[in-house]
Amino acid sequence: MKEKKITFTINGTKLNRTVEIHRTLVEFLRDGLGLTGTKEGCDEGECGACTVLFDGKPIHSCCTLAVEIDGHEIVTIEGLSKDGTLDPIQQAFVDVGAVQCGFCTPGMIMSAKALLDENKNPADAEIRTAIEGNICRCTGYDRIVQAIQLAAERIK
Amino acid sequence: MLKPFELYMPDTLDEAFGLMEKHKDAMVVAGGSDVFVLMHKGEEHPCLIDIKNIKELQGFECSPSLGMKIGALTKISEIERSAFVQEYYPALVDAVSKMACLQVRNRGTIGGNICTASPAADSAGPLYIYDATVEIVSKSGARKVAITDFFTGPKQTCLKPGELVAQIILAAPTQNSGSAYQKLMKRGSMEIGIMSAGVKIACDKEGKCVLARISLSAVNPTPIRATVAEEYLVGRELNAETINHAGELAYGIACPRTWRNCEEWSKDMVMVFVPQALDHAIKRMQKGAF
Repeated sequence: MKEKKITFTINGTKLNRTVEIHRTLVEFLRDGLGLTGTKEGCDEGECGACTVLFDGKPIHSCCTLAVEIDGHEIVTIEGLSKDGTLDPIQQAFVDVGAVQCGFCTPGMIMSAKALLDENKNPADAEIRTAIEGNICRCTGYDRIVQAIQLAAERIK
Repeated sequence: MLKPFELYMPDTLDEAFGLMEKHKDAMVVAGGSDVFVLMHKGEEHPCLIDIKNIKELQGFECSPSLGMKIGALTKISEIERSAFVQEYYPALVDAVSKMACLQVRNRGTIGGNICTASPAADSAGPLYIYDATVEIVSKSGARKVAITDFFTGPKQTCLKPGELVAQIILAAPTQNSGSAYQKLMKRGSMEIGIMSAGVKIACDKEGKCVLARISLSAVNPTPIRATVAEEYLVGRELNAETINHAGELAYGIACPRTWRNCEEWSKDMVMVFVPQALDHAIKRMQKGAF
């Protein structure tokens, strides 16, 4: 098998595509679907920049094959804003100043999204655990934690 | 970018056995959290057999009187979040919650973790102290192996060609026991353990130790039980003197330099972490936890 036809839901839209089986999910998102919000960083499951939600759970899209999303639901950073309005997590990152170079931000926000979807009132330690797999080399993390706390308050 | 490869995704064990027979050099993949990292780093596997869709290898059965059967494909994060594991096998939660990061724990499986067979495998130490058995299946049937016999060297297991790990069976929780696992890390996540100590102890009504299990990870070619320290503790009261001496005895069997250039302190820390883990386990036992 060199290629496979897959059916999946991406950001709420059901799609069919034929993908080469050796393509990683991050390559397919960026090059196959034009969803370049997801970043390819270390390409070996260390940095978390490529984090997307797979059936609601954060995973590394660099260490997942595109064919594995067959029958599953994927949400990327592009799936968060609605009708041009930022998701509360995105807005909180802007308001708190939790973005510097921005490369880690999509992955960081997807990890925060997974956390806040199941825990509306996370403690500081729970936020830090949720983003433990996301490396930021600019901010020192405090602003990011503050942004997630602010988003949690606004979502309540 | 990964180099092109053949990929098979069997839905049943029979199908998987047929593929493993036909493609003898194929790499079996479960969660892929190790395999794809290595392939990104240049390791080549022209053929992969992805077993994650095989229903027979999934599932989770548990009861306080019988113990726990964990399907090989059980995700690390499912184990971490299980209320049953948190209550009855807390050292396993201590260990898996410190494994890599959430993204990896959402993909990685317990079967994959033991088959990768790192001397620092985070699930191995707790499985040693909970007297786990590994059920291995092949076309010709099933066999069971004690977890202590499963690892044969760094990155090596007793699995023969054509065999897969089906499930891991943990012994029933012991009454009046406590357990804990401590991992030495330079940072709080995304870290391979520099050394780890797992312990389980049980005491009688007089406070004498009747059962002791001590595992050490990352300081020998495979995870190892510090049986000399276990034997010392049985029949004794557990106090500062005896648990510290158990740490000294465990130190004696740690040999990190036999398999990698590990810092000397990984061995020294055995003397610190074994008593600390014992102390933690005793506190859990005293609280009526496990």
